[in-house]
Amino acid sequence: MTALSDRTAGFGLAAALAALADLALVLLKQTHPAVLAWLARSFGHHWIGHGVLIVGLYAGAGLSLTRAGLGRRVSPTLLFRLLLTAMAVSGGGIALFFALFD
Amino acid sequence: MTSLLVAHHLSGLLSLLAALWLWAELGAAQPAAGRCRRLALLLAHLAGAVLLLGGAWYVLAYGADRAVILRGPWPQAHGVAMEIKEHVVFLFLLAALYLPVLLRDPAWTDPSLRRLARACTVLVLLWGVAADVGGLVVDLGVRQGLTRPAPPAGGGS
Repeated sequence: MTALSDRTAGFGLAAALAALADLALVLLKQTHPAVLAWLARSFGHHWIGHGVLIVGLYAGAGLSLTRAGLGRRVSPTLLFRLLLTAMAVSGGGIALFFALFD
Repeated sequence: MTSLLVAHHLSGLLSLLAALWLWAELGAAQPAAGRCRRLALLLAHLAGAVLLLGGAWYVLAYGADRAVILRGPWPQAHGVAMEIKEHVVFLFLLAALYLPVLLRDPAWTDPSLRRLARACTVLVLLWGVAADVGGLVVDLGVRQGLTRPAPPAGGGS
């Protein structure tokens, strides 16, 4: 089995995590007006806050998971499946949520 | 503000072309490492530009368009299309940002990693096209709002 570098594994897992967090934050914002208001108040606009949190999570989790040294524990196939599943669940969930509950 | 929107559209189009080019490069029997890495870096920068330019327009200027959409016959252009677009665009960015990291892996020419890299380019294309279609629907929603005012609420004939 090909071993991934720690950075490839760390940032790949972080991308999957941030993708799922994108969906979670959408659901939280849309169902809890207080969260939407907090984001708007703290960042000037809720969308800016959303972006800062998602990109910040990707960068922060990527660096932390890289330091955790997961390269030999995560196979390319597992990372492929995790990343694609997270992206599909997140994108599909966002589209479904707004299509059904607008 | 119009120039922001034009720059947003152009950087989006260029990022899709860069993703398509990178996808093709990664499918070659012997992919050129330097070109693939430069393309991945270019794509990540373009994706960042797409978000910054589109985000600036969205925060500073979209309010007027939203008001037009919501009083027109296509309110879903905001409630569905824009809402989906403004959130799936982060998936587009994540896939684009990961590619330069992936292509710095010493084993990136291994078929399993190249498959992962090509999947990321497909994700960039998929979310990019989805956001683009969302933008088209928003544009049409504004046009509908300007040319066909909605009937009065609750006003039956």
